Amino acid sequence: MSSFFKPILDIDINIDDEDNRAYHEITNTKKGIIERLPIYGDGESVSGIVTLRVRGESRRVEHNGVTISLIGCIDVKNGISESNGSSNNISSTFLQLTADLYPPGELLHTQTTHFNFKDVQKQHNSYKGQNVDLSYFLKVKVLTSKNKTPITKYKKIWCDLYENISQLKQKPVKLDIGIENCLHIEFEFGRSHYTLDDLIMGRVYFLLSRLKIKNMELSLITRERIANGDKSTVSESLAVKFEIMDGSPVKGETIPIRLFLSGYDLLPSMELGSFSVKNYLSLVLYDEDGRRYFKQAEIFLHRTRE
Amino acid sequence: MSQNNSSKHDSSIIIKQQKVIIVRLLNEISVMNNNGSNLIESFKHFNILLMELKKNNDSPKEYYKLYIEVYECLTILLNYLKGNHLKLFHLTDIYELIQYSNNLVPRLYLMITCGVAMLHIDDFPHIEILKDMIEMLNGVQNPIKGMFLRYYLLQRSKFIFKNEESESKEKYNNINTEFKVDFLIANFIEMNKLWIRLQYQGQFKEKLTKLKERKEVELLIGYNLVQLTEVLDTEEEKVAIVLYRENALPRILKQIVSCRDIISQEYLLDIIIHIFPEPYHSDLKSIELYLETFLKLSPKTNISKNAISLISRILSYGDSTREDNLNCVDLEGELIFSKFFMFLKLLNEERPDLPFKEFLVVILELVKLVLQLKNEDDVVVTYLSQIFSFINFKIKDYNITEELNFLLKKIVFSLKGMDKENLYYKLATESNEFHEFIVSLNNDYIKYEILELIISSTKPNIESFSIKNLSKILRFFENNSYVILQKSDLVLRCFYFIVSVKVKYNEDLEGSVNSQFEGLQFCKNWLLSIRASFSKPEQQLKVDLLINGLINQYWKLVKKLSILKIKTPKTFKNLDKTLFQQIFKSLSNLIFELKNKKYLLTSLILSANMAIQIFLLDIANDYIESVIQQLNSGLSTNDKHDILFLLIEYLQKERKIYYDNNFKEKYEQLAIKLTFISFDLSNVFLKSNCLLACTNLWWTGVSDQCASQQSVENNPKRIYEVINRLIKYITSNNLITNYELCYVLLEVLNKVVYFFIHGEIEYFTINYINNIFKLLKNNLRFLERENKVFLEQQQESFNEENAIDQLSTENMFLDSDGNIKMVDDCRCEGTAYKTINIDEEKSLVAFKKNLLVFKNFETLKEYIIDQGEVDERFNLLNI
Repeated sequence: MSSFFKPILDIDINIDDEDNRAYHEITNTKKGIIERLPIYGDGESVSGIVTLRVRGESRRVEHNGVTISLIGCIDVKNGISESNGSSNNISSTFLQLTADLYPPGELLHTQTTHFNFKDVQKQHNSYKGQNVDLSYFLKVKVLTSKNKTPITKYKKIWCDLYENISQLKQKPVKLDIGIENCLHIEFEFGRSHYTLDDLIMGRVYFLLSRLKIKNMELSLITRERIANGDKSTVSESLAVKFEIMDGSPVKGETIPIRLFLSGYDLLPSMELGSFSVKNYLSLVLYDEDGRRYFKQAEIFLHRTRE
Repeated sequence: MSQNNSSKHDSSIIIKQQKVIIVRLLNEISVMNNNGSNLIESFKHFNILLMELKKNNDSPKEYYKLYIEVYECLTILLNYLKGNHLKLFHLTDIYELIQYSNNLVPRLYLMITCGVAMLHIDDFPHIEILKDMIEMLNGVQNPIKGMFLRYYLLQRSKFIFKNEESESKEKYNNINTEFKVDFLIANFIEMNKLWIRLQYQGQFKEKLTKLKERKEVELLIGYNLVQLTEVLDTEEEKVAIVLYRENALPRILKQIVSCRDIISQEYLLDIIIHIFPEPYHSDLKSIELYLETFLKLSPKTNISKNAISLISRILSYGDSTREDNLNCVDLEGELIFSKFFMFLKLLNEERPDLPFKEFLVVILELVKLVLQLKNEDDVVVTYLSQIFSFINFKIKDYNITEELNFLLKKIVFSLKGMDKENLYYKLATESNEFHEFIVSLNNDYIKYEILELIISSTKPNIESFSIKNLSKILRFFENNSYVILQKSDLVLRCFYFIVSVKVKYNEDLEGSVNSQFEGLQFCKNWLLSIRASFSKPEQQLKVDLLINGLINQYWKLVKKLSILKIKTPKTFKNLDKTLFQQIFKSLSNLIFELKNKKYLLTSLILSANMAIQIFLLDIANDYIESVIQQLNSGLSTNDKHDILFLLIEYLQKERKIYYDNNFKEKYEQLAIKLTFISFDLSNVFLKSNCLLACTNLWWTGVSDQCASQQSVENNPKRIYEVINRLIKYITSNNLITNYELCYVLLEVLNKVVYFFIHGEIEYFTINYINNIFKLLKNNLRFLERENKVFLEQQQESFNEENAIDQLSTENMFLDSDGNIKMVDDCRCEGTAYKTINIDEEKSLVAFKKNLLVFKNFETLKEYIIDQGEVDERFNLLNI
């Protein structure tokens, strides 16, 4: 069956310097494989070699031109589409650069050609979330004649943007939490902006505690939100869960918070028109009866170069 | 319970299993020297085993067992980390890596282990690491887990606190002492909070169980302070003391006060006082801090116990410095005392709820401190006065129980045995507060014991035994009927001091005699004044004892004068004789205060005796005259006889003085008077006894050298008359029994033989004596008959063996009143006599009396026979 639909042309996209490049790994648990995507930064040229191999010996393939495109798009899964409510994904492209590899003609045997998107400006970080992906890929398209569907080949790349946060105005995060006559705590972090391998330092003050607290955890929650007109879809994932206190403190105690981020797989905060990815620090208190008390505060994660 | 056991069992198994894996992992790495990935693998297993320490519900004891097992495993890790730094990994990375453990308790154990490994290596910023570790520990708020973690930190890092060999000292000199102190105190404070929380948090358990659990872990917290001593020990003592009092102590004490927990306060204060060296505590500033703290302790915390141990530490420091080196830092006694005293006052103001006992036990210790302060006696007395004034102030507010009394007594007795001379005396005479204290005691016996102590510890050779002081001491006895009535010898001992002071023979003889006399007079007046409050007859007799005692002291003074007369007659002559008269006047006044007539008269006679020794014949005569006047009133026959007999003896003894001083007529006069009075005695025995004694008044003693004078001064005619009248009286009186007659005749015969031996043959001729013998023998026959009759009557009722015992007169003799007395025990020097059992049948007594008369008669006969061998005249006596 497959051979029947087998395209007449094999297309390989090889990027330059493939061995030395850093890779972003995505574990696909369903398929049980790990996808490795080469990482590019903003303004970095994307270059490589495209190999077109004609199947079968001494066959010719006529075409109406071969192009290569660098595309950046956002895919919303299980599309909550605005119009017909079909379950198809909706995709919107925010970047499309196209270059011609070959003018219309014939392809014979195997042909190799170089491509180079020079200094491509990449607006957004790649993102793979639960309901939305933001991805970049290379697309080679061979337009066949006679209105046949073109033969295409994709290669995903991963884009990490680096920010410079030295200009950002840091302000401490301070939160006051209380249940009247029962609990009153204050928690405080030194900053609101962090890099992905940063260290979060802070403390929790117990101004009043009449609960029998069993322990306290600090967790980092990544919240993905898709805006769609009035509706929005939110999904959360727990990136970090970290115990910071064991036992029940009394009034006046100060619990230190120290959380190293570099060991975790975190994503920078994103804010696009259609969706956003935000990170929250969440403080959770468990009492001896199993009840939970929590409070969240947003922090901003940034990817920086060193 | 069984569940608990099994879970504990499981924990132990888990730890052991993980340990096996860890050992294998870490060993392989060292062998293979790979990139250290096995270490990361091992952390997984450390986390698993450390989770066992995260579990709740264990009692501290169980938890400790697990802790020990975990500790061993972590030691493996520690050594591995120390050994492979830079070879396999960089410790900084490991330190960060460890932070990713999700669970707090395992994370912290690993962090400490890694941090401590870094402390062992020079390149790391040690202070920062220590700061970081101790800060992170705040996350553990569970009492048991927290305490053990902090204890783990200490155990692991204790090597930095020690004063080790030089190499390591250099190694850790980048951590200064101040930081170490801060570090330990911070840990201590947190641990103490957790410890207290153990009481109030967690499952509901019996209060007692919780207390027990707290006791089980108290050593963990104490360990901080032990380390602190090590740290301070690395510094010179002076520096250490400053650090201690300026830095460490204030913070520790602040924590102790603010934690408001009894167990904590008591335990911590106790170990602080005991583990830190004595010089630290003896510092004034430290003392101040302690005392301030004591004032602020929680209401039920035992203050006194701590105050006592503090004082005893200071005391032992005082001891040791004294022994070591006299030049060594001396305790600033005055300041120390005033601080403690101020403390007592403040304690009194701020803690009116405290029982008196609490104060007293502290005072007891404070007194010891005062005595050790090496101050002048006067200062000691001042301090003690302050203390007693405090007691006097407090004592009013409390119901004084026996226990308190005992403590009060103990306080006074604790002054004993110190090398302060006459401290009690000084207190008693110089401190009004002490006086008030004793007077206010409500237990007579304790009062007595204290007074006894004061008096017995006072040495009699005090020059300052003035009337003023005397009056102060005597005031103790006023209103103290127990002492006056039951323990009068105590008062007597007080009197004794006055005359026991030596008279200064050379310089101011008159002055010193005078002052002693004044002392006696003062006592006399005092005695008479207190007598008013003892009006019951039996009380008055007790007072008589005191008067008697004082009279004795008068005599002693007079005796001194009479010795003076013999030793240095010249000085004696120069003395003012009016002083003597005053003494005797005062003495006689005193004597006449005696309620007991017999005492009174006896004393008068003895005083006359004394007077005559120093040639105060007028006074002696006055005394004797008044005795004679008083003889006829208010005396029993026996007493009268005794007095009379004394008088006769006195007169006989002083005969020479009378004669030498031209008082011969007076003597004669007195002798005749006494003879007449003797005749008036109603009891035959006593009468004969006195009369026969009177005969001696006309007979000088045996002195062959003065033979010529003898004949002049002896008056045998008088003697003859007296004896004849006696014989006439007993033979002509119908009321005289045979026994009485025989007894008296026998006595007469004895007397007559006496004169006969001494050559008086003018009146006492052989014929005369023989007649008396004849008379006696005739009458003895009657007695023999009486005895025979008695024996016949009794023969049946006695059985043979008893009879000998019952009729025996062994160890018996006849007394001057004609009754039988018994020598209690022959070996006992013959002084202990007892009157024979009165219940014995009268006839048996009579029988025995007769037997004894026979015995005496036989003795006389034997004597005469014996004498016959020496003196032919005796052979002529017809016995």
